[in-house]
Amino acid sequence: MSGQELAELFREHVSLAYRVAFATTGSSQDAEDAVQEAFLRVLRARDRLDPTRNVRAYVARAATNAARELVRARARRSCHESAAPPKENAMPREDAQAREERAALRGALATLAPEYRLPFVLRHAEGFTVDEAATALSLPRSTVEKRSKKARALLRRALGVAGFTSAAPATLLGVLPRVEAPAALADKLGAALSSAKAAGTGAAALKGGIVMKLIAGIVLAGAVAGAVTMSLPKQNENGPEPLPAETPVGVDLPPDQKYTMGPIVNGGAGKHLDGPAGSQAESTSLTKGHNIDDVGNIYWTECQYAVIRHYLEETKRVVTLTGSAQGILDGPLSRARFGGWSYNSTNLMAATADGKHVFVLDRGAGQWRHVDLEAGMVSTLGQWHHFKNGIFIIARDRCGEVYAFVTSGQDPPDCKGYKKLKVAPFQGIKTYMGLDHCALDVEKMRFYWHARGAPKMCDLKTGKITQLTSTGNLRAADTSGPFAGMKWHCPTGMSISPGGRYLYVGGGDSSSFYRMDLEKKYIHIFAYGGEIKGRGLPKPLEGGPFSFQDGTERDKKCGLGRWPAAGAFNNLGYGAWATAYGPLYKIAPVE
Amino acid sequence: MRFCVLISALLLPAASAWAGENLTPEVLLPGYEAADAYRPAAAFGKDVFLVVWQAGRNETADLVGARVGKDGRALDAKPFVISKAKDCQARPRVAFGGGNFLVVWHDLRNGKDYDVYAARVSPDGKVLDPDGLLVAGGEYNQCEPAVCFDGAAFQVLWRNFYGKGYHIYGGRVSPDGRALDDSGALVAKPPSKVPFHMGTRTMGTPGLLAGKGGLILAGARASSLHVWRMKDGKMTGEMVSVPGKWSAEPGFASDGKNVLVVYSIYMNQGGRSTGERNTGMVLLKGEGDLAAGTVKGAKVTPKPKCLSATPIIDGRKQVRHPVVAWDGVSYVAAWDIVLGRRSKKPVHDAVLLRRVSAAGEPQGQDTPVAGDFASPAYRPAIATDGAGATLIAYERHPKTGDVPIKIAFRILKK
Repeated sequence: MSGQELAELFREHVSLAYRVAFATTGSSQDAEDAVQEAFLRVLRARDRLDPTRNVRAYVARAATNAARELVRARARRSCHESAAPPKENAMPREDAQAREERAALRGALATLAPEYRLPFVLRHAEGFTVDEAATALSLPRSTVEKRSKKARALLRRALGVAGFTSAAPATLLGVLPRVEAPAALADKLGAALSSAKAAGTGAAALKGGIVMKLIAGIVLAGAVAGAVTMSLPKQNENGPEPLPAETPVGVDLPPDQKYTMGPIVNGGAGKHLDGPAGSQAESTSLTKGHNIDDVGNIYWTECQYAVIRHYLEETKRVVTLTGSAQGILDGPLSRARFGGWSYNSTNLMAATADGKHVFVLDRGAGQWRHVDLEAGMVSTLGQWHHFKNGIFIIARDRCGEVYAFVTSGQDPPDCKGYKKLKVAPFQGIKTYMGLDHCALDVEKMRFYWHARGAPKMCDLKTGKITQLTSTGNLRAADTSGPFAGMKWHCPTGMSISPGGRYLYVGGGDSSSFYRMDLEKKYIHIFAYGGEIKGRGLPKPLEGGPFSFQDGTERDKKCGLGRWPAAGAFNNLGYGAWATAYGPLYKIAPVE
Repeated sequence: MRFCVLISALLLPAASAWAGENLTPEVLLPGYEAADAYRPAAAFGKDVFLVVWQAGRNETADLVGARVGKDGRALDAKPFVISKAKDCQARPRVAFGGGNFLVVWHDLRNGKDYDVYAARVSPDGKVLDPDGLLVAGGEYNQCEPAVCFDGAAFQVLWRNFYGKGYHIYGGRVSPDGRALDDSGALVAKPPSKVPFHMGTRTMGTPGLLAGKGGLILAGARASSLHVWRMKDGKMTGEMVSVPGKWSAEPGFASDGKNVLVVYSIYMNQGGRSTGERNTGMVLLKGEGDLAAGTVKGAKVTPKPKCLSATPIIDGRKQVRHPVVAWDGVSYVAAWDIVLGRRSKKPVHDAVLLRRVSAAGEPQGQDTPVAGDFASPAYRPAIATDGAGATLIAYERHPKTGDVPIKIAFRILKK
């Protein structure tokens, strides 16, 4: 590509690059930096650029990647600083209504995960075709379509909650003033490009500490596939990378939100069948530690076979992720071995929302294990000295801190402080002993658990413990109403909604899932598991929140089965549940 | 006491090895393109053992095989491909009849659901139906097939999804490689009522054996194992509801008179599960000769006996994947077991074997076949020449993560 062509390319696409970077970073300053970086990469790759191909998509991809890297780097440097809200960009003055609508849209956009935000912005704000957006984001076409659709639905819902019931997100976005790159950016860009030209793209540039950036550039150009591996963080070197500072806080859906629920894998003894998801796929009965990432992939352990399996949203398949014969071996997913997990433990693992990491307590081995899904490798993080006790939750906050909570089967004496595990590289890991069936609201730093009795909440910042209900046998009269009148006996499983408003509790003998609205202080049956003979347990609430995919009589009752295990929700309100010996369900909000 | 149990656990394998079982040294079969090897199956015919397995996992799995001589030599320098179709070919089973082997498996080449495919392999290692012939297709899954030869045709059973759970269907493949029954016929259904917590009415993986005058099959029906007899491809009555909750993974062998059924079972004590999982076995009297056999109440052993004599090591014994064969003198059963003590030393899978008399009595002690902490052994397959040579093949897992999982075997001689 000639110098003149390059200059034209820059002029033509600088605003596009800026808007894409802004959508990723939420900050005009960061967007400017990302654009500079993106065009530096374009410059370095100019010899390989084919002007006859889709340059617009190429530039968008470079800007997206540069912006993502910037956000990650920033998060690493100052992850404990509170995430700054997206800055207002220079916009013309509008009438109040339009301004409010756009503000609501920008607010809603900011809550979307970048995986959903970017396809939506490219498609609806930049007018990219699906193919162009797929090229720009290095994603399959179908994924772009799905994510864009999902983003639209989520935005519509968010706008509805904000009172803009008639607003169509894509339409609103279409009338947003198109943000142009600041004029100063062009000057900066020119200066940066000049210096880059002077430095060249050879050894001098490499010495400038931009090796990784160049590798990314090579990957962008698709020239060296092997470089992808080089650009990945080394195993076990720094532990998981911190979450980007702009990682959105999960949003709770409204109380009257409707859901669908369908089986991902059926339960039962002695069966273990991968393949198309649904009742056709089978588990070996005790699926535990369910997690769901923000793409909708669901992860779980199978107690009888020491394997981790997962459901892939994109292919709708159930696949054994890792684990084979029992033993202890690090290495590729297909050969890694685990010492196994307990027959009766819950929440033995945690998957990160970005779907890149799974952490699991390998009780049989007495080790913390790390499954790096991008590298396709399993590694041992360190020894777990208290392996007699089950791990019940692992969670990461926005700063990348990993919290591990374990049980000793007794109530905690208090809630003050944490014990830090001194196992490299998990110097920051925090454990809390003496808990049972727990959930962690990482945003509010509230910890929920129950120990053979009522659900309790601990404010981890102050150490204050609050008991949420009374203890006692669960009875029909107790199953719907304010907290004060509630009684629990032997609840099983617990999970928290993404925004921290709802606490879901498995009913133990009652075989139903209950939802505690922590804001309204109200509890009701969320998913009815059917009546167990002789126990006289309650009927479900009229018009419960679920509809069912196949409409069978059994599924109208949910058919959850006994001993609902801990479920999980992702930041978009999708969830996964299972019961002992029963199916594993995926829960999806109705759009 | 606990110390004694631990000492017993440590000494037992060594002690049982003195019992005089004649096992050839372990041989690793060559791998296929560095792919991990899973789920071996084996059969004997025309003086060779054929071992087949799944090369790779999930979407990448292909089917390959290799031959082994009666003297324990691997006859093929590298495995031959049985099917390398798109997507996943997995869970093979194999039987010999009509001069050739028939390999059956489930196949995801259509990208939507599993179908059952089969391919004949000649004793000289030639694949006669490259990439396989369709035995059972159609909507939903047809999966986890079992196969035997009844003297006229290969009988194939598989699990057939019906919308909520699985039935067992059956069909035949002729010795010249034609599927004789389009989509097969319903063979067994789950009971109309299942325990609340079981969820769906479904049938587990079938086992299949050809006997004089007919066939017998077993399948996990809801939470217990049932054994049926069949004649001319139709069920003629249920023989036995095998006791024990959560029974699964059935295997059969017959000495020509009786039938030994082995299966994985959760042990119960006073109606409550102990959490222990063992390999149960029941001897069915006279059912090897189905024409003369009784239909009901034919159990010689009123309660399932446990195959594994290895003491409970971690409070809960984990014994799985039992297989059995009649070697002309006695039954030979093999299985895998989790050894080690979780709180003291790391656990690992190992393969053990034990002889069982024609009267259904376990003989001697468990004999270790393979598997230690550094290199576990898992999922045995068994085949015998009926004259004293029994091949036991299994997954041999590597010491380090850069080495593929391979299939290994040993041959037990009289």
